[in-house]
Amino acid sequence: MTAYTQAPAEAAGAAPPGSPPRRRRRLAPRTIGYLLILPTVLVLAGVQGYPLVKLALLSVQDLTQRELFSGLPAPFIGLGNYAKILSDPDFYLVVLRTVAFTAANVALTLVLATGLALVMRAASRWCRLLLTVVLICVWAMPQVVSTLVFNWLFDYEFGVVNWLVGRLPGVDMNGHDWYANTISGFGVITMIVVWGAIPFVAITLYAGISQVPKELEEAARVDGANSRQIFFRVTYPILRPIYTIVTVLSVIWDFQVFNQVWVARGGRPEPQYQTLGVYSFVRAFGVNEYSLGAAIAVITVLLLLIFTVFYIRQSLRQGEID
Amino acid sequence: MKHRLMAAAGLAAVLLGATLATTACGNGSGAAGSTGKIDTKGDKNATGTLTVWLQVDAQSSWPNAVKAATTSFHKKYPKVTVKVSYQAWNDHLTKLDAALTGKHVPDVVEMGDTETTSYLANGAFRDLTDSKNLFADSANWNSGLAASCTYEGKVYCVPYYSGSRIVFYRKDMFAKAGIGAPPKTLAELMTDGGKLNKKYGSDPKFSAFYMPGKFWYSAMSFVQDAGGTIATKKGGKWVGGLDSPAAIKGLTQWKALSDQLSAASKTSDEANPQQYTVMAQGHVAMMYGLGWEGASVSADGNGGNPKLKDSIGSFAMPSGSGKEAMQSFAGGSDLAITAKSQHPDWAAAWTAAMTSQSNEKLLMKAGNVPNTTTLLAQAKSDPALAAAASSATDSWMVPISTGWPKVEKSSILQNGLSDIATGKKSVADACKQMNQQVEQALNGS
Repeated sequence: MTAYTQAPAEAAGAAPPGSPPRRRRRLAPRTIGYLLILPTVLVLAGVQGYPLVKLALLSVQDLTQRELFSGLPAPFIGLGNYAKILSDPDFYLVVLRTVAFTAANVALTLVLATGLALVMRAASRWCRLLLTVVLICVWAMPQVVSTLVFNWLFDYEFGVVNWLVGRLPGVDMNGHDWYANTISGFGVITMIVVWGAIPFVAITLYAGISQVPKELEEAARVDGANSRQIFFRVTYPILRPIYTIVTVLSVIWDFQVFNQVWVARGGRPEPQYQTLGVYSFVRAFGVNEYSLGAAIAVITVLLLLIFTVFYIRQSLRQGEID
Repeated sequence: MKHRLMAAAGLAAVLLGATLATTACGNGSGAAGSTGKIDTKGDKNATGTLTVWLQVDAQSSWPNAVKAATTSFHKKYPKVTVKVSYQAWNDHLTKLDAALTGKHVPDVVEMGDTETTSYLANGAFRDLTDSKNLFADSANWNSGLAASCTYEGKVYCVPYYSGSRIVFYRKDMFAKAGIGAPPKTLAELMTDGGKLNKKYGSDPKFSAFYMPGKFWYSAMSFVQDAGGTIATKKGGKWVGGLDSPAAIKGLTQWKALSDQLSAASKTSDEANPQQYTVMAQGHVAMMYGLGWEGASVSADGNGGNPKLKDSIGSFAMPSGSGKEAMQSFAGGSDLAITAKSQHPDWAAAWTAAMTSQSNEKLLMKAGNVPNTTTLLAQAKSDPALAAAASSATDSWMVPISTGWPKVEKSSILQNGLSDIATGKKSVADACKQMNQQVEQALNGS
């Protein structure tokens, strides 16, 4: 890289000043860099910047059904929506619930996916192939479909789980309503979310694990380390950058889980099942307070941004991401 | 440092994209002209597509009426394609809001009569005041339904049908449990339910009276029966009535029925699963359903069970406070032409065909209460419809307020009732909360 950039500069002394090839060459690396990133920037600006600006605008307006149906412009009301949300005690409950739900989901996903990745490395070739195919099938299943399947499994009247658990001696699961209790209800939703999230994480981690030099682990074993120590002292430190990315992505996905809750609760989630994504949708479209919903979405984005920036900064300090 | 910024920016972009996917909101297009006379004379050469949104009940219970309406419409506009799509009650308003925002709107939409007010007030539908005469017997529209179509003296939709709820019961089960006649009071109903429980209690799926925890039409009838109300308007402001002693008494009775006689889920409603499909399974002795649901229990197809053909009877829901019967919720539907519809003429012609006298008679056969008093009088003399028709004349209605759809869409009552049914909250506590939320929604704060 350095050698290449210096070569034209040396040649410049010989060439007559102002000649086009020389100038183009001198600016090349920088310009090319910007040119290469330009399409990405344009696409991001169009696909995400525009809606984001609309969302921010919407959150400082008061858009009602009247404006929506007629196409009239909505009046601007400043930060009224934000004030309304931030003074609503329910909102903090929703945030707390979302954070707890996210933490549980991400932790479960990471632990189970790590286990699966280790199993994949240890397994025979055929077994590994089979596992990969199964994981990809799970991955390919649309969220709504998998949620409906889980709903059927846990159905109040005809559910297979109730039937199966009810076969245990002394257990009466007839008409057991999993959603009557918020904890067991969220348990089912967590299962759906984690089930869908594992394939990506497991495959990514497996890809990472398979790159860990065998020699390092062997050396550790020779030194008398047990499997636990090998994983935490040797494998994990090497995989840490991958864990960072996977964790951040999982947090982002689980923080705004929507489909699973929505479908599991039949399109009418009770207040105790509302996480931020659902809460925002219910406010925006359920009761037609579009602007309020937009403000909640903006706050959600900010919360995630704070988390992401913080987490990435921590990782950068540790020198994991260059 | 630059790398760090790039990494952060990249991740931020990913996360913003994901958030936006759930909250992106469409953009309004220009207002379409919604005035001017409608003309339904017909046009042999007109081509295009008329889009109609009906609720799913039409598909399951009176498809013949929809077919007849389209056939009759095609006599006027033979080349126009009619596309009828069926919506679920759960989410049709959200879908409608999204559709009305764009340019390609459905031309005719069905609305529940408790849902119309905010749409009328916000200009979603075409003003039909001058075109009323296009619709059959419009001078004698059912007053309750007609009121749900009227806003500030103007008419914005056409009454379609209404329904009132009665109790459907298994005659064979009653006989086997030694019950001679249907109960006349709520106390009798509870006693009879006890007898049924005794007789069929060994079946763990058995419900003497199937009552899902979020069946708010039923629970509010208990409130009404005990002398309570949801809310009343006093001096320009809505005052909630759900925390009154009468309302608490009614809901306590409702909970007793749910606790003692029902094995239904306390967290589902009467439509998920459709309660007639549950009764068709054979583990239910009584349910509180709309007129057409009785026939659906034993229908061939759509989850019905033809084996129950001769064993379904009906009676009016008995009162717990000495009245002749419990007042039923005056639920019904209207058909509206959207303000943005490109083909109001076709839409009006199809709507007129769908609500014609002959079509309304088909709806009556399916167990509905017709849209005019003329036909309602006829229904009362028909033994199969008499119970439903007379409970339609004596019925209660939700507060007529632009805030009411908010109460329904945010499931205030359903969630409160579910709290009562599951025992998560005491009746009094749940009533207090529901009352406060209803007041907030109705007064628009």
